[in-house]
Amino acid sequence: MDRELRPALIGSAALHLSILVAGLIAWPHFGRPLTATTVPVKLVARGPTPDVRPAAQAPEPAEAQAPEPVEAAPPPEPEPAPAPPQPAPVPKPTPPKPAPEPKLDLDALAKKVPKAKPKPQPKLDLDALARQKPDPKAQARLDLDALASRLPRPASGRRGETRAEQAPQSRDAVGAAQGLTADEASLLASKLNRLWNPNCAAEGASGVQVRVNIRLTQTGALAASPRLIGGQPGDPVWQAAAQRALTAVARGAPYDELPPDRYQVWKDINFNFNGRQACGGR
Amino acid sequence: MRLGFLIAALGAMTISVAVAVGGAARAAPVEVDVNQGVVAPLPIAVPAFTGADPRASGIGGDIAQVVSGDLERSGFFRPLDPNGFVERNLDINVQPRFQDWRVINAQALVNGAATIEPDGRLRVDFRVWDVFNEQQILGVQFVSTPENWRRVAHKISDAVYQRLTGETGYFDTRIVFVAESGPKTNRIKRLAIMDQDGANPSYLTDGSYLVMTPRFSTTDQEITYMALRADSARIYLFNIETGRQETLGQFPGIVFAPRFSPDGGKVAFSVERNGNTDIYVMDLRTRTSQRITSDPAIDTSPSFSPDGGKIVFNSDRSGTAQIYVMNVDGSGVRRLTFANGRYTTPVWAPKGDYIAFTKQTGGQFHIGVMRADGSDERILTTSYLDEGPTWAPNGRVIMFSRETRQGGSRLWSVDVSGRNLRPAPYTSPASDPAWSPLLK
Repeated sequence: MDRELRPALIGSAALHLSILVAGLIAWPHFGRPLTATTVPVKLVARGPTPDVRPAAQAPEPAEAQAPEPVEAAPPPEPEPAPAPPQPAPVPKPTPPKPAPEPKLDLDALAKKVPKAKPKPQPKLDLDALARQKPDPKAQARLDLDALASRLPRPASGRRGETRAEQAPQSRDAVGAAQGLTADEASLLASKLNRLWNPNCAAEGASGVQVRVNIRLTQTGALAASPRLIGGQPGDPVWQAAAQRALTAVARGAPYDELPPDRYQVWKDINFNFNGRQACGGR
Repeated sequence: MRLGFLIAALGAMTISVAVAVGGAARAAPVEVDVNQGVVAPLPIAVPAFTGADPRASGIGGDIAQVVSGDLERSGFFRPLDPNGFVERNLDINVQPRFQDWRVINAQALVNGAATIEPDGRLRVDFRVWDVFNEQQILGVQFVSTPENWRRVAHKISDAVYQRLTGETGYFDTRIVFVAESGPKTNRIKRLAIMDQDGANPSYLTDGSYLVMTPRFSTTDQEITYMALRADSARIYLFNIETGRQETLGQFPGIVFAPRFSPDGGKVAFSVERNGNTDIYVMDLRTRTSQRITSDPAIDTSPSFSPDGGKIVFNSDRSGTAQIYVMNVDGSGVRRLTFANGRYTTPVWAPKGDYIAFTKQTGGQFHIGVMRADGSDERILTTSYLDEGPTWAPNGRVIMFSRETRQGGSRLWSVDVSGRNLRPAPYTSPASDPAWSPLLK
């Protein structure tokens, strides 16, 4: 702008404008008339799709190969709702809602299935496994105090926010006998690292944490849709980040790289997507 | 392309596994941290929107193309080639065959339908599907006139962009700029306007005088600009919707570099008089002006902060052009830039977080950004002549003009991160772009 305003330029412009005839009032208006018409916006639906019929060719669920007790229930399919195509339109757009997913209630299903999970079983199995696979490295690193301090926490699986806050500090003990081995964890993490496309460019994305829970069948297929735990569902940036995390987890299925004899260990996994780490410096 | 597929190999990969111990009824989940990722444009499928009759399906096809183009230019998306689509003849009311979209690695699918209603209006329904989780993540309907289909398409782009990036879109916007023609010695500079994707270009002035520094109001469809005539240099207001325009009054000296306040109620500008250039602010309601700088140096290019409380400007009071900030009444002047080179045309970002500027150093020009306190300067572009940045209303993209040594000036855009540098869709000679707010 400074460049344009040099006296020389102004002088030059004055020379070339000697043919100026137009007055201020009779300002010519060229080109097509500009109209700004309001485009009314109506919200049709968000979240689940009760108004959509299933595809003509319903996809074959991969889980069909080897059902485990939890899967005895009908597969989580969208409800066939051959209702008229037009859902009742909401008059005004409303801010995106968290869209809770009334999906398959695995807990309830698990309860219905007799003897699916006898209480003591996980402990017994894990102990046995620990004996079978002595891992000197892992055992050397076993921090009993750290483990004990976690005792009361995870059972409910309902502590997303708390876990997210404490995650970096409290989960540094790798390879304890009852959990994933370092190799197994590495397999899973590197798979998801390849499939996750974090939304680094969005403002605030670097601080976003998304936690996704999956439950697996014995073949490593998803037993149900991946489930978000905690988070900030009212924040559009978090919503977008959560969507990308869910996509990564779904793309990762089946998780068949894990040893079948350790199913009790890996059948239930929380993936913690750490935007701050992944987007650092971007 | 610089954007490309940027492999993010950042930070050491740390894998932590939490172990649940104890006699709970069910073992707690094992925890796996995912600390890396591959940042790449999101593969998205935007098949032609369907229509019940030829007219509607024609509009539907056009809408899908515009949406696809918008998303691609943003740099965040990679629309897939429709020739590779497996599932054809989608129905808006039938769930897509997701495996057909997974097979081509589409992560999101935009499926829509255009309908001409009995009353002649155009209704467009669309859904965005998460292909891998087989769920709808967005479903919206727009109603407008059929002639307005491009705006409907841009609104769809905005909705998709927001759902998948978390940020407000910027596609339903326009750009006002200076269209240039004729030889360099006799350049015709006309005020022109176009949609942000280059469509619907049209001239607003006839080229009988030079037009400079058009600026959009942030509140509505009004422009302020400078007109340079043989006998005067004045600034004008121009309402695009009504075509009404008026001068902001006569000033002794040359008036230039006007810019609206965020509420649209004021215009700040510079007046050059007797070799001294100072910044003034005019209240558009009372038409009274106040001089807010009095330094003997050149003070120009004022730009308001989004809260209206401050003005950033450039001044050569230190001996070379640098960027300063002051309160809107002229008090509390503080220098923001101290590096070598000339800093000009500061523009406050819509969110208030950044200030964009033109920097001249080492015989080259750059577009850069810095934090509003002057820290964290980042140079986004380098060329023979880059200048005149303007922000998209979401503060994510900057458009500017780039002139090559060989010839004319063109409009270019770059992401605030420095990625996605590309020429604007309008390819004729043009300069000094100004981005509109989102249309209402």
